[in-house]
Amino acid sequence: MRKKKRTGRSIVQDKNHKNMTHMKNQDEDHISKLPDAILDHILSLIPLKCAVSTSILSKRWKELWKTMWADTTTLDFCGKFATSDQSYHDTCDIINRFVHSHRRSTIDTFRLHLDCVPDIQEWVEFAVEKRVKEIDLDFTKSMYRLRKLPPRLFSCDSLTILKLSDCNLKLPLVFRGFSSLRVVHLTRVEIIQSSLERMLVYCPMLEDLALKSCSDFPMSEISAADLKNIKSCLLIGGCNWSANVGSFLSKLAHVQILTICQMMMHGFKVPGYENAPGNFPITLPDVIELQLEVLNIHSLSDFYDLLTNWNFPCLERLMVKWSPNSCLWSGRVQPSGCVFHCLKMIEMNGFYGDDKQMQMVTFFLEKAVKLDTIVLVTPKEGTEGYVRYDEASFGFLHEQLLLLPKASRNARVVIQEDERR
Amino acid sequence: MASTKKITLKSSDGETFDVDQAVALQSQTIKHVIEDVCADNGIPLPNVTGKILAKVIEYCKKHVEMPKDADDRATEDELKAWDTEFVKVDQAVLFYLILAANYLNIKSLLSLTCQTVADMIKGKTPEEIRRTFNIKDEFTPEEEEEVRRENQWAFERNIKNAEEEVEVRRENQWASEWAFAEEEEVLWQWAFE
Repeated sequence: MRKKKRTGRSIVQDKNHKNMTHMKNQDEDHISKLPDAILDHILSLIPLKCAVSTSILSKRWKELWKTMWADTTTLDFCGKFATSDQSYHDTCDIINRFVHSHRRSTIDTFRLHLDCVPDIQEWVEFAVEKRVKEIDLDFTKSMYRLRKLPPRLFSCDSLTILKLSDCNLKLPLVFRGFSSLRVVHLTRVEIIQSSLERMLVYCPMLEDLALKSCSDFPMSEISAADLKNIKSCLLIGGCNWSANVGSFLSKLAHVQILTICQMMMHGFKVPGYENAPGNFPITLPDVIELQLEVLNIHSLSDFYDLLTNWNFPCLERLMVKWSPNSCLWSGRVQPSGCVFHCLKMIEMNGFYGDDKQMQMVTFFLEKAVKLDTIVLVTPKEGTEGYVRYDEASFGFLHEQLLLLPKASRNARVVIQEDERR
Repeated sequence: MASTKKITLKSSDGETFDVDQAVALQSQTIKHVIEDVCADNGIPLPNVTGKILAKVIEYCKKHVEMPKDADDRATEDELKAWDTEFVKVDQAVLFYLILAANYLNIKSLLSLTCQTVADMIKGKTPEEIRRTFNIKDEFTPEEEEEVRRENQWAFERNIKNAEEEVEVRRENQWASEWAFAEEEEVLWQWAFE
């Protein structure tokens, strides 16, 4: 193949030749030409199973994953590690093989997303010994949960990120905390005794907390001082939490991003302050982004209570997710709340133009004096609550929205379809 | 008075770029050249074409304006979004960016571009990977069979349907809880023997 000399400026040639060169470019195998060291690095960024499967791509790739493995700082065991139904034994054998052939003395990440629940003690010890920074254990795909976390996990000083999914969390009696732990994400974790509370108290550097559908919620033993570094907090699910949510959130003195979904929010009503907007008992001064979900008519009422009773003086972005069929909810709610001085962007998901949603849009246009944009996202075709607008009704809805009075002159109202996959 | 000293960079095909020193210093390679050698006549970069160098400079400019260790989540998110758009380029350009980032020793750009390629590989079967990157399959059927046999588990498909998985979990949840209770009972019995 004749090698074309590269120049910075494109050569103006006749159209056919240009097309041909363009096509030749499209057919080139650029990736295999990268130096070994870079390909090793790229392979270390993908799960081990996928990396090993690249051995079949071509002769160049056959042994690449082996050099990658010896030196990688990311150990990513995600997927099915067995060929037969003997998941358990095959998985143990294969992972053991890899763990024992790893040469480097330190690792950054240890990730285990398996479809079975083997004895992970040895592997966790191996990771802790290598001063691992991130541990991610996920047993969502397996039929059983991980019932017991290896005790060695709790004495890992180097840990900065801990992610657990479908496990049982029980702190040992003697727990000195994780001095560098910044991120904790727990999904469907069964929390035993007061493990979560103790974790929060003994991990002073914690910045990012996410609790999704977990079994327990921190009680009153925690003080605001324990939570002072938390910048991002995400809470999903768990109906038995409601009573404690308000109290917990009020202690997150420096939180910047707050997400609350799948939960009843009546913990936000503060007795004695129901009808006194402007007289806020609880202020979260650093919150810049708030994400809330409106599940039903009570949830909607709680939503406005939250805005009335709590103060978010620096709030810039607000995301509201609507449950489908709000037009079928019976009852009326009067929007209430004070002026927002910093709110710039609002996004509403699950928008289909019914009266309660229009009421909320009107409310925010009136109260957000510095508003830039309200984005109204209609549900994707096929999802619950999907409404297909014909030209006429879409036009009418749009007109109605444009006619609403706006406190901020430059505020735009945008309707778009849900683009997420 | 102006501390914005300008550095001249020369690409392999003769284009020149004048950039602020702070922008150029994002490249460790350039940093060493400036420290060790007199760079008044401009720094030649024989391994990078003008088109790619322009992109690299664009990246460095953005990352000087918005430093990564800002405490503000909003700035972090904005920068991430910009980075995502920045790497939406032709495969050829992407790979030349990798080589340039490697040669110029710009750690964050190398990280970004390599992660982009890794994301293009993740979750694909070998056949799909070959198609995406135009990798020629040179193995004979016997050779291919041998490679497959060596690590057969790596070529097995995972469960594809996420909903399926959750259903399996829910169905068996009662079973696992019950089994757990049984085990505990057995332990207690042993303790009292």
